[in-house]
This record gives sequence, C-alpha cells and structure tokens, in this order.
Amino acid sequence: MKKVSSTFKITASAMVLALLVVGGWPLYRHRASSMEVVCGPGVTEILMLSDFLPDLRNTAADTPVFVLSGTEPGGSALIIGNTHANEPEGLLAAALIVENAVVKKGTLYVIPCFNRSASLNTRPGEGYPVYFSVETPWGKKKFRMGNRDASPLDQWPDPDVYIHFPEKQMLSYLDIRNTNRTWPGRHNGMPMEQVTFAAMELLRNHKVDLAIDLHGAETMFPVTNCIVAPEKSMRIATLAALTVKAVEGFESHVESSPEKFRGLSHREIGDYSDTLPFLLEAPIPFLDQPTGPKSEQLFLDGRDEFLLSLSRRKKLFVSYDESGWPLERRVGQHLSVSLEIIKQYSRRHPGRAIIVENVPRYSEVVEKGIGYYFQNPATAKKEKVITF
Amino acid sequence: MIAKIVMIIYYLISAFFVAIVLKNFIQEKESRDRALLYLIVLIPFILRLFRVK
Repeated sequence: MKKVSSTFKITASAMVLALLVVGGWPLYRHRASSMEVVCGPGVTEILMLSDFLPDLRNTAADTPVFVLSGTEPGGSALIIGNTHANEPEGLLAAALIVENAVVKKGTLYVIPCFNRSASLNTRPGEGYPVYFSVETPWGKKKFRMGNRDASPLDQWPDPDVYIHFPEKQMLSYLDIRNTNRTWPGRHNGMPMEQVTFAAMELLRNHKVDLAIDLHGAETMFPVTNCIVAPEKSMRIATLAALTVKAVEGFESHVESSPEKFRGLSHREIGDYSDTLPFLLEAPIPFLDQPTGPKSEQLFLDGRDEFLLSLSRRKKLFVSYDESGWPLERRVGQHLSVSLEIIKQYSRRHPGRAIIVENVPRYSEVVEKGIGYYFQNPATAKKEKVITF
Repeated sequence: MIAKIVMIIYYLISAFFVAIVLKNFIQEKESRDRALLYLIVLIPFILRLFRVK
C-alpha cells in the first residue's frame, strides 16, 4: 500500500475543494436569487405572511401576500401558488393574476410563492433544471425551479416519523417540510407548520370565502387534471368543472378529498375554517418518472416520446399526443378553473360576490403565451416590483 | 423554539464531525484510499455548515 505523502494530501484537498466550489456555487447562486412580480393595476396592498404570524418575520419562509380589493364590498378568495415549488404552474398563474387582475367587487388575496423555502431548494439526484424561463415580448423572464419540500437549511432535522397536528396521523418524515401536509399548522410548530398556520389566520381573520391551491401532478398519477374538493366545496367544484368543459372545451374532473388523509389544504382548510377549499391539479409530464432527460424544454412543452408510447398503451390518466402538455395549457387551465370557481360561488352568494376582470382565460393564454401577460420589471416603477 | 435549539445542536454536531474527519485526514499516514475517503465524507458536512445545501 502506498504511503500518504504531503504532496498527495495537498493535491487531493485541492481537487475536493475545486469539486466543492464547482458543485456548490450554482446551488449558492440559486438560493441567493430572487424572482420578480410587477404589481398590476388591481393591487391595493402588499402584506407579508409574517403579518399573520410574526415568528415568520426575517425567515426564508416569509412571503408576500398581494391584496386586490374592489371598490364594492363583497366576498373574498385566497389563491395560492408554489405550495410545491417543483410545480410552478401555480406560481405563474398567481403571478399573472397579480400583474393583470382588476377586482371590481370583493377582495382577492394572492400568495404566488407559498412555500418560499421550497422555491430556494433544489431537487437532488434527478437532474432537474435549476431555473426555467418563459418568452415575453421584452425578453426572457426567469424563475427558480424549486423542490417539493422546504429546504433543510430552513427546517432541520426531520423527525423519524412526522405526527400531524392536531389529528396525530403518522406521515412520512419528509412531509414535515411539505406545506400540503402541514395544514392547519400550529403557531409554535416547525416553520412549515407555521406557514400554514399563518395562512389559516389570514383565512379566519379576514373571513375568506374561497381558498384555491394551485398544483400539478404526473400524467401517470390518478389524481391529475382535476379539482380536488371536500364535501362542502363539491357543488361549486362540479359546476366549475362542467362549465369549463362545456364553454372552454377542456377537461378538469372533480375528485373527492379523502376524509382520513390529513394535512392537505383541501381537507384541513375546510375542517378548521369556514372557507371552501379547492385544490387544482394540472398534468405536468415533467414530473413523471419514465421520461427522457428532465430538461427545461420538457418542462415547457411537456413533450416526451416515452410518455407518448405509454399513452398509446393507455397507461396515462390524461389524453396525450405529439403536442404534449405545454405550460400554456397548464397555466391557462388553472386561471380558467379558478375564475370559474369564483364565478360559480358569486352566483350562489350574491351578497359575497367577487368580481374579477382582466385575467386571461385558457384560450387566450394558449394563443398568446404566458409571457405576453407579464410586465417588464426593468421598465416598471421600482416600488411596483416585488421580489421574493 | 425547541426546533431551533435542536437545529443549532445539529449544526454543532456537523461542525464536530468536520473537525474529527479533518483530524483523521491530517493524521492519516498509511492509506491513500482512506485519506481520499475522509475528504469525500467531508463534502456534505461542509455544504451544510456553509448553508449551501
């Protein structure tokens, strides 16, 4: 066996140091990067989630809450994106609402990046892109691609078993960092429990009528391309699903929220507040396991030959052809279904109606692209540009 | 609060591991394989201590 000389030690240390710098620098840059949203004409106030739970202030979990109030009093709705930061369709749909919506009646609360810590996290081992960009008339708009769970840098260590509060159901240890398993949260819990608790405080204190949580799911997963709703939201969800199919021509079926699976927004928001919860799932081929490389292009156009082959064998839960499932369709669906839920609720509760205008619907987003509706942060007034 | 204390303790444990593994690396005279493995083992601990990953 060769002896370990000082020269060997110095050389090996230098190589490992180089490896650390080359591998660590992009991760450091990702965590230090920020995303921009330009406040549109409808934004009347910008709050922070920490306004509802001060313990979150100055932490990576704190995130902006955009308020769009109408001139007439009415009901209110909360729209949440990036609960899972590897499903950024919700982030894009929420950002489009912030940049474009004008509320005539009632109030919209929009949290584009609900699990901000997860958006600062990267997914190890699967070769995910660290960023993605959408084309706009003024250039490319860049977004962070995050992970499903909050970063261990912000919440660590994980328990051996995550015991949900307050239902005491035993869940996977990882789900303690998953903000769609920590509802309704607790004020003195782990940071992600605090995030959902703060959102519950918003819902309860402001008597919010509707909560819409925007997600995405694999095409091979049965709960995809759908609205998940508990019993109390089922009527509105069904009417919204039927209407978008009849009027806009796309499918978004209704799935029932399981009563015994705890921690999910569509279950706990309904059980622990008067708000009607809905969770929207858009199909994201990028998330499926048997695809080609997890490239930015696959994320954007959702086209994959392996999935196409599986579709021919009827192994997918959505229709799938050569055109894939482009980002425009996924974001457009979220916008149309969200607007339809608000509209159906408003029809049945005129005293608590919410009237939202100037938000593009499915066909417009598919035709013009997502980027068409984003404002240029470089030319916007500085106070209108919010970073997170 | 307890979660924060536990998190700080885990950072201290990581720092302790880094110190111990570095000490072993410096003292290693016999095996190149072991010396190299000490360095590789250090990587995740250093990334965590510097709050990179």
